[in-house]
Amino acid sequence: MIVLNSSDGATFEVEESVAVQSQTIKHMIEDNCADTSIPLPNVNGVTLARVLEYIKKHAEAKDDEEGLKSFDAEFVKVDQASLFEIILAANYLDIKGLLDLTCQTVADQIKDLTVEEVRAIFNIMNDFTPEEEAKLRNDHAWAFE
Amino acid sequence: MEQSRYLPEGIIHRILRFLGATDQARVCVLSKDWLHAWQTCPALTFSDQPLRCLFQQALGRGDEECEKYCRQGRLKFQDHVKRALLNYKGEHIQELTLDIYHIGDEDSAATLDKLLEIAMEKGVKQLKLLIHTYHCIKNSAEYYYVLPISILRAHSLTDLEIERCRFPACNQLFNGGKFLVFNNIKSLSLTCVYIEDEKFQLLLSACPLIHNLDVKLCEGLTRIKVVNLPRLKKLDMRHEIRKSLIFAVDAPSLESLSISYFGRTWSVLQLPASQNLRELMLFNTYITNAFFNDWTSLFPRLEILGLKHCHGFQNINLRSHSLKHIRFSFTAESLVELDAPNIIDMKIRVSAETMQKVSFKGALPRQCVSDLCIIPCYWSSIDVSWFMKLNELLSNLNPSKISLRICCASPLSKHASFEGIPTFDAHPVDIEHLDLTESRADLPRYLTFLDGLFWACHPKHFVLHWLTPLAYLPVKIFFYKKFITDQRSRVFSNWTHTLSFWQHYLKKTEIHFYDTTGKKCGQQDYLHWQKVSKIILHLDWSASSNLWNAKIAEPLKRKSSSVKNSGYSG
Repeated sequence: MIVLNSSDGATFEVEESVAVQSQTIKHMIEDNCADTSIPLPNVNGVTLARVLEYIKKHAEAKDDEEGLKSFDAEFVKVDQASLFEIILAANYLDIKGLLDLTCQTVADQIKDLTVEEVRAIFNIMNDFTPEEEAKLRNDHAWAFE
Repeated sequence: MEQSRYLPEGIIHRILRFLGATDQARVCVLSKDWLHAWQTCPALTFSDQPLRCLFQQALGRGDEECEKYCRQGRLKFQDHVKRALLNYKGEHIQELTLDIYHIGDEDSAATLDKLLEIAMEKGVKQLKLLIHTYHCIKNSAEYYYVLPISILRAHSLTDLEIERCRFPACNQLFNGGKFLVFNNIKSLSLTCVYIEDEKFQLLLSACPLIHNLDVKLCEGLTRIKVVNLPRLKKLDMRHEIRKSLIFAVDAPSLESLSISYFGRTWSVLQLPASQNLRELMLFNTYITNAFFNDWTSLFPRLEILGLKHCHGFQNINLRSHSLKHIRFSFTAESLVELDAPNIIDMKIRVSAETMQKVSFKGALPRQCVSDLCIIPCYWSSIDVSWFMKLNELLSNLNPSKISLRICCASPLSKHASFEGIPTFDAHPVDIEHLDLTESRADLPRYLTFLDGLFWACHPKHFVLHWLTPLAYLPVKIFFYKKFITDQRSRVFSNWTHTLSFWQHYLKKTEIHFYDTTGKKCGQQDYLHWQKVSKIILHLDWSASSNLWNAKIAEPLKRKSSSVKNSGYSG
């Protein structure tokens, strides 16, 4: 069993065979940095719990394609802020499947929204001057029709 | 609102990969970070698809205004691509996809040449060049875009996928006696590319590192020899069915071979023994009975075999100890005998009209999972002998875990000629899963059909997809009667135990209802029936189990004798 410590002091136990889905953790174990527990200063407790839920499910039900698909679909039904936290955690922990799943989800959302809506929902600050933005839109005009 | 945490550029690159060309261009406007991410993104896609549709409609209508608008739009698009490539800030572009319309004139070709030159300077590794032409006439190859030398010379290129292009003249492929082309290509995919035999062979000889080759619908090819490619692992060929073709392959490292649409006129010069071949897929291809001779020595490591809609054979006798996965789909009348003791899973599709016979030498392993799908074309072929053939097919698949799916293309015809189920005893096969799709069926007729099915097999799990909208209540009532209160066992008194037994095996039933758009809008599970079934199980099991076991004791003999005795002529 491996013990993981989140940034806000929460501890989680998980089996090594499950934890190594994270390349970061896998390398830490291989390099013997994991004596008592592994500190993960970039991931908070709530997010770490969710990530562990994902990797546990994917370790258990490895061959059940249908089941995993529906699990994944439900898993990403979270608010924006949490989704971004999970993306960052998956990136830090280097879990390819989770990273692809969450990025695909963001991409799917972007497809259905206008630029203003994307900015609003993803909290992206528009740092272009009106002239710069107008010029860009003009250059990419064919995409906005 | 809280500022959400900053997304690092690497993640924005990942997100951009999942976006199409239009969305990639749109998100540049979000913020400077996103613009910069796009300018350094290793995977870029450019597509003028929305303009294409508009342009084709305009040309079709003769709408000059719209045409002009599209032409201007295309010029703007080309400028945009050029600028994007020139201003690329990353180290080099890993993957570039250009999904572009090419009119077929010189200007258009020159612009495209320039774009590709710039792209190759940026060190593109994987290029997808998908050209669309308006001239959908037979000799449209004349209008195909001729690949520029810049692509052929590019050292960085390892993966190339092209559609609707042609290769330049042979003399341009050489420079001072040495090949100009493709030295580092590992993966080559040609779709609707015009290339003659000689050029094709030259091309292949110039790619010693190639491990993946796809050749689809390429005009100009009459003879394909895939030889001297020591690293080739995957070969996918699709030809035009009416054209003749001579095909030879000798690639010792080949692991996966897929052949589609090789019509009656193809002849195989060589499909030699291969130690490494793991996967063989034949689709809509002409093969003879002799094709399957001697496979244990020819392909000792073959694990996956797919035979879909192939024709020309009547009788397959196949022996292979390495075979693990089978994907068969039959349309013509045929008889298949397999000796494959290590099979793990099978997907077999037969047509209801012909009910091809598939049999196995020796019993299948228990862990094997079989998926049998029956596609009826015309319900008029369903009669008593049909159920017998179904029963035979299922018993051949015993004792693997069988799932049976029957999909109705058309409603159960009033002219379906079965009057009822066979009047002699059955040996229904235990199957895991029975999945039916039905629309607009006449309910009482369907009842008889179900009786026939339950005569042929005992499913544990029954699922029905009811496609007729607005018929929920009658259907629900109907099936409630069938599953819970069916008293039909009293009618066929000479074998009551057989009919009532199907209810014992059934553990779960589901009926899914769909609305007019095909979306699922309801489900009926006969859950409380399960409790009832348990009681029935309890009561009848000890009473008639002995009788049931006695019946199973001599299955084959009884079956044949009962056919004779019943006087049934089917």
